[in-house]
Amino acid sequence: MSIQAPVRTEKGRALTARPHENLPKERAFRAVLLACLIFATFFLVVLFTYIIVRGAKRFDLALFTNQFSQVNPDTAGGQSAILGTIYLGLIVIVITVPLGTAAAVYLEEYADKTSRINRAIDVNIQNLAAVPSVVYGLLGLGVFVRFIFGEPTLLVGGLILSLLVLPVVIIAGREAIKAVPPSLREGSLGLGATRWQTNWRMVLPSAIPGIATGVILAVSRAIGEAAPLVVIGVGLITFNPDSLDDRFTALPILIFDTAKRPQEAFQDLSAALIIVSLILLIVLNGSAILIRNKFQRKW
Amino acid sequence: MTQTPNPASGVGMPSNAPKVEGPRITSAPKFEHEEHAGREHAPMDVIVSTRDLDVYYGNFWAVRKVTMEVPRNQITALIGPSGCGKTTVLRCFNRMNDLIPTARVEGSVLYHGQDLYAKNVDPVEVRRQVGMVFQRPNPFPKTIYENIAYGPKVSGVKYSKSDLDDLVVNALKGAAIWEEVKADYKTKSGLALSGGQQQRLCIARAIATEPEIILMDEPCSALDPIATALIEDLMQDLVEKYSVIIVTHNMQQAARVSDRTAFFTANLDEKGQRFGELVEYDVTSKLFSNPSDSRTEDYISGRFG
Repeated sequence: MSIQAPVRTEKGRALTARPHENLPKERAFRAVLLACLIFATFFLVVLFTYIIVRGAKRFDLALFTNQFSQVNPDTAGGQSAILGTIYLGLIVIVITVPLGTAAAVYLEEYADKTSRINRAIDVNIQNLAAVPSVVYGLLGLGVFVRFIFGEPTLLVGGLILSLLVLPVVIIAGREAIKAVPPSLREGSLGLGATRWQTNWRMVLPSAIPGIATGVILAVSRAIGEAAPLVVIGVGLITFNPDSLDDRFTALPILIFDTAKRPQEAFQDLSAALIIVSLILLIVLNGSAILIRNKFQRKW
Repeated sequence: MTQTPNPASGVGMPSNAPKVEGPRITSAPKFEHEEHAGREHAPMDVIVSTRDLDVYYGNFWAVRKVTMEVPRNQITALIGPSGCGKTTVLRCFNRMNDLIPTARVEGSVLYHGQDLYAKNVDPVEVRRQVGMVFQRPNPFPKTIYENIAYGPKVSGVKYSKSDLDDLVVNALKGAAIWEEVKADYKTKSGLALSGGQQQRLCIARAIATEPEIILMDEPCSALDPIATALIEDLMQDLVEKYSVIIVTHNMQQAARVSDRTAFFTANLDEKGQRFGELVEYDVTSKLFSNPSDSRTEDYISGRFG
């Protein structure tokens, strides 16, 4: 299809040509973009539907009140795993919020960005964020389990997952701090505030939405991890952890275990546990959005 | 009233005193200089002065050998073309240049006999006594009340709730914005104000720390003429309690509001490096009507800049 050449006048182009958005090339390009989006979401929808259909019949109260049982798959639950995952999430928040925020504030507000050491740290944080989680598991096994704690306790699991997501929290925190307009810092310092006061009273409150979003997305990732926990030797345990020193299990471990069993009842249980996992993720992501909206600031 | 010749006064200070009282003879009638109750002809009571002030950014010697004396309770304007170092000099008066990692200052800035750049001087303390208003209004993303209370709260002084309330109200009154915000200043965000109001809020914020000097870095450049006029009027009130130093690239504004004007210009040194220097510093009416330096004359008559 040929495009009609626009009529040219002496002073300029005619303004009555066919709007550019309707040209065939434009339409085709839009269609390609849309197809990519559909392709990406299609499999997600299929997956969700399959899981929900499979898991619906086992998504009951017993899932939360009963412990896992190898003999009664129809009434087995996953209480210890659900609790373990929630505890892990809380430990990760408690560890990464102060550490990650402090590191981000240091890197953005204090570090001399021209020094070689800081540049090296900068690059390595980016690299750490990309290290496979199983490697963190090996680190945890070698350092925390063998040398410090002796067994894969709840604290060890929380520490490893915290280390795993700390780079993500630091990077998100830095971006949030970077987005605080320099004019606010100048205004604060110009009123005789110290660096500390400026960071504490001006920069951090303005950066809360970004930091919180980073933390919650990081926690979402942490509680979905199975590999590092498998490496440190977290197994199936059917009692709830009472303290940081207790051994524990987590949802991804139980899901992995039940999904690979041949009996259909276990696989249905697995699907139901995946739904629990998804709900946890949705709650976390939803709260990230809520926090972001609540603290959203315009400048 | 007579002008006391001040031998210690800065560069370009003429010895011939301008005619006092009576109509001013102006060669450039568009710079109608207002009489500010003859403030500028009063004996000069110096509040802050610079001596051979040099500012470097890394290896770049940006501003060279600035020596000037700023009078108490007057408005001193720093004018000049872009890149002449006027903002750099302004930021030496409260050590805001310290925030630029590569900036280095030599020479001295004397305030109450103390060199602001002496080793034992805390820049935070300097900024508590020398307030600053920036080019673009920068209210904090907080309520109007919290914007004003910020300075007192970080000052280390413990204020009671009612003292703080009084301080906030007085600051808002002092910056001529009280009438506009008194209904909701405790709940309304500073960002919800108009640009001119925001700038007056920033002035209120600066005076809430009870400084002696207020620095203004092109405070009206982001504002419309009406908001500008309000701020210019406000400056005439402020100067009764504070000493004001204003950077402006608007010559008419300097002529309208200031008592003394320092004209800076950008020069090239023998190595071809650009630097800023103080050309002439004088009573505003004199500088605009009868400048002693031909470069000043060229600039104010619009021949360059």
